[in-house]
Amino acid sequence: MLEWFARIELSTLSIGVREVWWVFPSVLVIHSLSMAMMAGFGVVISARAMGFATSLPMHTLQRFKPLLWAGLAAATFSGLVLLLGYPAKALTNPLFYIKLLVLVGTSWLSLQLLNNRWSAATATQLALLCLSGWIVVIFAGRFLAYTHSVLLASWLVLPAGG
Amino acid sequence: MSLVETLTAIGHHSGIFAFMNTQWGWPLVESVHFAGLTLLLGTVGLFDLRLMGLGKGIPIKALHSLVPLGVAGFVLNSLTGFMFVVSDPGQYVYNPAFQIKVLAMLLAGINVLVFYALMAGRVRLLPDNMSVPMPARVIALISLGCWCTVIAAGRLITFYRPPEFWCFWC
Repeated sequence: MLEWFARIELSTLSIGVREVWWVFPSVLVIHSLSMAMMAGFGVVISARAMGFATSLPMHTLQRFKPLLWAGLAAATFSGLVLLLGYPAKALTNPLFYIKLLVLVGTSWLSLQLLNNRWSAATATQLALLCLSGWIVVIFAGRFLAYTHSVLLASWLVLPAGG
Repeated sequence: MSLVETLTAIGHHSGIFAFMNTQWGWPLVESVHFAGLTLLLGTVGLFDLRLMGLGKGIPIKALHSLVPLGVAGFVLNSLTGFMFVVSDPGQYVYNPAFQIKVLAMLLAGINVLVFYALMAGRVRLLPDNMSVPMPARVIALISLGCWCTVIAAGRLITFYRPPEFWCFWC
């Protein structure tokens, strides 16, 4: 697998992501803002489902649903660019897969909570799960920068396919 | 004592420096800092967007009742932000990204005061489908712009570490 990561790392695009000075910082900024937008809305949905701000009808929050989709699109795009720059760094770290799985589950749960189909008690429990999910995603995202075992596979092995 | 010396002394005497330099200290506090900004952007950011004209039909007064959560996020981030700064003051005080971040926070603070002094009362009484007066829309745009700048500049701090970075006003 490392050989394939090395091959990606040595492609023009991947080198560009790492070495064109403005690309990596800009993509990180887009990733932070879009994740904050998604998680922020998700946390608000959870808080509302837990009984916070009861004067705010849940169904009216549906009008902000495009924010969640826009955030997901921008976070996915920027995440893919980051992945292109350092494929081995993320893909050899189990935490990366945990972040992705929890992110997918928590985004889905946030959308479900927005539809408000449960009793108050069930909604509170699901909202707690949803809030925990967003916290896990945030912590996993930040810890990815500190827990990788490989930074660049191309430092370690020859690229696949020569 | 200079500002950097004072902050360094606070970091060391409070034990914050020691905690931040334990194995997971720094990433742990960074994660809490991101959770805090999420609270702020999720509540104040949504309120700003509503004032700017997005999500018409959402009752403004009810949406505003989320703002205390954003204030909690801001307090959390002031505390965690203070932990970063006193643990490595030189990397922040002389850092252009951090300086821009602080300026954007000051501007956001003044903007909040202007909003509550002049517009909040009128906005709160607005019926759900009425359009928001232009001054309140402008204040909301400034607020959202400031907080996005704060997040962006915060993320960029690590790329502008003094003294090796070329600083255009130093």
